[in-house]
Amino acid sequence: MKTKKIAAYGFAVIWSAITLFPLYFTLISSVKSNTEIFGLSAFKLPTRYHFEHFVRVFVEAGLGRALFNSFFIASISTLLVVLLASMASFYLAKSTGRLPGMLYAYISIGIMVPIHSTLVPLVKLVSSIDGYNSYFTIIAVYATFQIPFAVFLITGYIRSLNKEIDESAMIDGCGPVRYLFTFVIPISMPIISTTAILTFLFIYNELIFAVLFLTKKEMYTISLSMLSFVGERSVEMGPIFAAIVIAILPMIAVYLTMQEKVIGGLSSGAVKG
Amino acid sequence: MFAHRAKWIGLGFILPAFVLYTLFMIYPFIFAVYMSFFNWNLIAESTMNFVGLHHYKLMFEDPLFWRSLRNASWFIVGSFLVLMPISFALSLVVTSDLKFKRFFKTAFFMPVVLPLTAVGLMWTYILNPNFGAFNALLDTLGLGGLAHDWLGDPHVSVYITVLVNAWVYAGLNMVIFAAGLVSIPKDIYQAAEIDGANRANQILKITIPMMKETFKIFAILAITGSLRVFDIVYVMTGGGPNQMTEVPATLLFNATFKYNNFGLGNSIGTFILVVGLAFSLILNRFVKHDT
Repeated sequence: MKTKKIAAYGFAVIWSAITLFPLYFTLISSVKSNTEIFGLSAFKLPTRYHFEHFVRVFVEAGLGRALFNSFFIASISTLLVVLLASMASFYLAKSTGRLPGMLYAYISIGIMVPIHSTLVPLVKLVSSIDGYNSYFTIIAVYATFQIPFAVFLITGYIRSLNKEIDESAMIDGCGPVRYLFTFVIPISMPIISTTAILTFLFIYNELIFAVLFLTKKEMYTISLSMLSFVGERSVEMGPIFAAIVIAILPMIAVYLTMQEKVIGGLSSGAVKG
Repeated sequence: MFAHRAKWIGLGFILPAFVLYTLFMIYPFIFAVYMSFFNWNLIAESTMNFVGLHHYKLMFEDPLFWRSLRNASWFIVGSFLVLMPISFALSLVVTSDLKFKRFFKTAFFMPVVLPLTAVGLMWTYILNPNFGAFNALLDTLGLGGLAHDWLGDPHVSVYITVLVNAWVYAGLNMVIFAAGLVSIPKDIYQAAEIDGANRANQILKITIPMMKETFKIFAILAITGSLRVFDIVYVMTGGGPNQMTEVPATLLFNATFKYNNFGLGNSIGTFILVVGLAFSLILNRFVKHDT
């Protein structure tokens, strides 16, 4: 019994080390000079801390701007997804008949479509409306690809709600718009917040649409900015690691503050998607 | 809610989502299939000539296409041989009564939330032959002879991307297995203990058989996920060296946007679409059937 416990701890500790080591390596390398990165053992702390790498990356390499872009695009897209998906789900959950059933099935297809198969036509579509380097296009595309799953989650939740309030709201003369915003959305906050976190994480971390639709530096998202920085400065390693640290810190912060929501949301996202 | 009023009012609620979805998802998705039968290029005004199945014929004759499928199947193999045992073991840890299991759970899940671009870069540098930590580690363990340019060697680079992919998703699958584990009633284990079954026997004879559904869900995710791999390969190797690590999604990307081979790009797109949808539908049915 004792040895088994030790084996379990051993495994847990080793996997924690494998999980956390890349973060440690990136963090210490971000404050090392080039000579120390190449000369010193990869495990050792630097002799002098070069925090100026962060300032340089943030200001000179435009990572500050990219961070803003990522947050802006991800936040607005998330708001749009939550709003449109709540409205659509409200209709789908509260109305009866064949049409809502067909519409629900139609939107569900979107959960299964592999996104890469739509890339080429999307590029053609975006180029025909001159939609490169526009917040509007990228937000519309991001929001669209998240809507099907958001509708799936929120519709399921609204369907499970007590239907008696519907009756009393209607007797009181409450219209559907007011009913949605003053009753249904507040009651559905648990699933809406899960959807919002899931959507935000996905969009913040997304790469391929950004590569295709954002070609101007001032429009770059954090992932894109990091990649282009790596391409330009492959000789200076410290600032590159600093860029990686800047990109991952916000996600770690979101994760540590809302851990249960994030884990629950992402795993339900994986299972249903 | 909408029964007492004109039904058309309700449709207003779904209209914005419907329009966006149809324009940016369904239309490209149908157009992708349509375009694969034509000779064309990305310029909007260019004319399109109908060529039938010509691009598909070229695709099936292209050794690169078969290589990308073989690499995708390495991701599937890696999922079952590496990812599954690790995730299952991790789920045993986080559902056990070990101390610090909250810390372990937090650590194990961490890679899932990180941007894949950052993950790819971190691992690229850890595996770097000049200053990377991995070769340094081998050195300290006295295995310096194994040191390697891991991503530059076409014989190993694809396995490396498979392992990094497993590193990312172990935490996510851990949660899926943990959900299956906690749904098994505790008294079965108590009864087994009274009958003298040890822990290893309990896992083999009770836990694994009772988690059949969870393993099926894992299998679906492993297969559909492996066919969709893109970011990790794109960031770590870009499909190279010498296009040896191409997976279907990077081949689509490189063929179309790097080598301007639109015909190949589009036929791969349709291929991914058909195979992906078919797998999702077949495997989903296969799970629902037994529950």
